Amino acid sequence: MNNTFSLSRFVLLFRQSWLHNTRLIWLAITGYCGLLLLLLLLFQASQNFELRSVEPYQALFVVIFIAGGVICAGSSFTAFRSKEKTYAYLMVPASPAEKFAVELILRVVLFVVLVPVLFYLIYLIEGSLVKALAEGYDLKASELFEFPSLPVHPAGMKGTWLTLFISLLSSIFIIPFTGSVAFAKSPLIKTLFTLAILIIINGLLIYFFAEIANFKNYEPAEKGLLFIDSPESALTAVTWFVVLMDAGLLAGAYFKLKEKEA
Amino acid sequence: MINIKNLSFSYKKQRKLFDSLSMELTPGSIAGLLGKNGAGKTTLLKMVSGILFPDSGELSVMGHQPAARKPSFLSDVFFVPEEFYLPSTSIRLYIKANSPFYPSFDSVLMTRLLNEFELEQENIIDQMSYGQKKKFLISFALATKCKLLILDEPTNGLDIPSKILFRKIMAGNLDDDQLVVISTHQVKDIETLIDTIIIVDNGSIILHKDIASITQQLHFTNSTVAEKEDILYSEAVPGGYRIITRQRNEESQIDIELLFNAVTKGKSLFNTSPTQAV
Repeated sequence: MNNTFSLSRFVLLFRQSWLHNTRLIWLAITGYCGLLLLLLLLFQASQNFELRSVEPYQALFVVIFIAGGVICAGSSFTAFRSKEKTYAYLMVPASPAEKFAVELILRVVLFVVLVPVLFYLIYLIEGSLVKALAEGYDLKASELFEFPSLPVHPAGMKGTWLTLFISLLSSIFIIPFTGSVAFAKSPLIKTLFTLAILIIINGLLIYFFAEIANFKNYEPAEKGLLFIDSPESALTAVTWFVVLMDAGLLAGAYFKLKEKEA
Repeated sequence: MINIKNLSFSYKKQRKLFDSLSMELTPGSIAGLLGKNGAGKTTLLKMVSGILFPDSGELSVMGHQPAARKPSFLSDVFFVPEEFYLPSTSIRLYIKANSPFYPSFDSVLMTRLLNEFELEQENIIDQMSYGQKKKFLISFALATKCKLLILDEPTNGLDIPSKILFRKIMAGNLDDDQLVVISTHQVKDIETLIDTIIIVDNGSIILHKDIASITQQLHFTNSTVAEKEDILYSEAVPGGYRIITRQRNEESQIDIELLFNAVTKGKSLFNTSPTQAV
């Protein structure tokens, strides 16, 4: 028996999650679609059905995608919220890799795929309804995922910029996902709190080195500080940092799951 | 099947719960794990199941290290904790979702046990009483045909007819290669069921014997006097005393409660070492 990763066991685990949570999943999807449609219609109604720009929709999508993603990923590994659930979960005959993969797919991958698709569908439905109600309404179906106001459009990104964009986007999900394994009680709050502390410490460190230690006026004789001597290399360094941070957090989550006790 | 050597364990910032604990259990028996509150019965069961890790020592179950929680190990072990979680779904869907993880799962047995416990396949688990949930979980555990079944306080929450049924079902549905470990305070519920007694106290095993060897050496009976030359231990009961004496070549029914009290009070009842493996 393959004790590391078996596709058949992975499918069984996925099926188990689906069968145990069928009602909850349908409720979440129906609730999301219903509320979104209602929200968009109310939004249009408040503008006397004369809203023509897609930008408010885009802003709403970004808010839903980020806030929803953080909440959804932060509520991964629900089994670890109580001792009884933890026993049941840890005793399921599947490997940590299979449990990790199922949770990652259910809480992150499916969210990333489903939420934009459902948002787009609801946007089309709402647009069609408004078109039927208001004369001259032009449904800009293709413009929803175009972000002209952004300095670099996601579709036009290449190389390091694209890597950085994907890594930062992944961090939105990976940080709360890891927090959900690391903290048993109120994981999302604790994760955000920890993150806030880390950001503050980093800010203070930067302030200390730049202002107090006066590193901002440091001018090396030949090249820039270490290997960062141009905006491009700074971008590469930041990208590497984010990529490694994401990979490290995922690895940490996996090992935490493997070592979990009840 | 279960081999424990010099096992030590302590919870964080607490004194050692187990220190150099050793024990061996073989298949084909129903072992009763007894001990006072806080003696570490549940902790020991959790370590054997792999949901708690020992600090040091050797722990091997069917040749596996439980802490590794390999699927090949987990598919042969079923743990019924005292407090458990069951999802909000029907019995039928629960079986459909979970039975494929257990290669020896016996669907016919499952159906029969559900009938015996008067549970319907379409019952929503969430809406069942604690006792009904427990009966379902015990039925599922038996139907998995796992080599090792661990039951922590299985009769808690069961009504009297269900306790009788539990004993009947347990006695009649186990294979020779299975080992059942039952931890309980309610010794009367399992008195006629178990064939091995393990008593845990102060971090060590103070008694580990099979019932046959106990009844070969000890006699349990009533007496009007508490102290006499051959009385090893006595306890006042209405109308006299329950006593333990050396075997008088008479048949007697083991009184586990009396034996437990005698052993935990440090009475020397046996000539052989108390931690002798069975």
